Amino acid sequence: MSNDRIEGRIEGDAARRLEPPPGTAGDNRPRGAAPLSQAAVGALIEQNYVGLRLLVARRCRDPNVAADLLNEAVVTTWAKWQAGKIERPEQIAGYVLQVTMNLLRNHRRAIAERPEKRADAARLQELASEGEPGDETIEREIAVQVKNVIRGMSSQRDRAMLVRFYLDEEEKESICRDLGLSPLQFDKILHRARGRLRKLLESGGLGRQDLLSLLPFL
Amino acid sequence: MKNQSLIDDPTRASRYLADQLTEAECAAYEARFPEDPETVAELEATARLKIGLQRLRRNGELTELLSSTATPPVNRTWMLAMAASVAAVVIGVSLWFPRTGPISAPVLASAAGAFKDPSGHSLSVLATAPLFRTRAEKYDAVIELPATRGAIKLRVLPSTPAATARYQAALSRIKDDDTSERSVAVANLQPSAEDGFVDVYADSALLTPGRYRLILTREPGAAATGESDTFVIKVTGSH
Repeated sequence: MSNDRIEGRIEGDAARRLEPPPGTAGDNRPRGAAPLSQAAVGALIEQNYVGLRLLVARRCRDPNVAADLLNEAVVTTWAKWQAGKIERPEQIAGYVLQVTMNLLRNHRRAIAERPEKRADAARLQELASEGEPGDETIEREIAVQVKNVIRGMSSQRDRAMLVRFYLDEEEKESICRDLGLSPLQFDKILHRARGRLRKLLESGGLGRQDLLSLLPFL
Repeated sequence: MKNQSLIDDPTRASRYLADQLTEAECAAYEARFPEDPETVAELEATARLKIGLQRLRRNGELTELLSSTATPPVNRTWMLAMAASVAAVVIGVSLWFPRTGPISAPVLASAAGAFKDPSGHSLSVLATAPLFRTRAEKYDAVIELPATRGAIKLRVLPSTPAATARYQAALSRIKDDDTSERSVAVANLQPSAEDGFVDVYADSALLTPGRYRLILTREPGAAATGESDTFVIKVTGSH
């Protein structure tokens, strides 16, 4: 999925730079500041929610389909924003992701209802997605960050727990039973690991660089 | 209160991405996306964790990461546990017969210090392999033989760890017909006070490529008897 793709679609139906809905919370941009474009929203989502974007692409097994889903979500959200149905600009990213996940669910349901196209969902998950060339670099960078998180965990048991929960998607109860953990211990380990990852991500650019950073322009 | 419980559940984001939430839970969770940027950031972090782990497994880096030794701060409990472990060295009750050479030596011991090189120096630990029950892997651990002779630390997690329990570890080579070739055992092993793993060491020079079965059995005691866990290890490489 590339910026070009998102912008291409937007040029077709909303190439103009759009003004925030009058009388809404978005109508408070500083005098002289450029209004946010739909394309900028799409690009921001793509850059700051790259993990979700890659997961969506993997689940679709087709980067073009994934790009279409995300693009449609941006367009839908933007229409809501224009119609004044979204109160605050910082809600836009959440709306886009909410719509994207809905579209993904519908897409998968549609595939499942077509027996001739059906494939084992678990098997599809295991296959590497043929993403765009840039995704390869992004994935590699993410893997380095995750590797640092794992290396920062002193206990091999905790590392095993992380893999079984996040990668193998085993249930908490089963992991706790096997590794001799209480539910509270499990939650604490998870909390620490996620905290480390969030720190790494923020230091690497994710986090506060979301739509909040565009508030002055809205 | 309901919203609070959504925020407080640290498993929610991962279960959502794994399609493990009910429809109602899913709807409630998604309803938070526009309202709470933290929820979305959390979801993104979880997605990256999953993507990163998938990549590491695909590249074959995960096994090494899981077995590599971290560098935790030294604490007194750990030092005491190590001291107790070393003090309780029990060498294997059987002898292992290497494929070549006339010497007979123990392949398994409760401490790396039990293995000596020809000069009488203790072997260094060159590799660590954690063993715990896995769902999907064919082998519970894959060990690459180091280029030089050294000790291989096997960290075995009992299915029902108990701090006061004692365990016996038995290692045998699996033949092509899936029967066990020989067995060597080490007794009176104590789990780590820190994470519950039982540590046992193997001499790399006495292992040959192939499959091995390691059975960890809880020794008879007041609480429980006879519980055992079986792990299959693949040894690769050459000396």
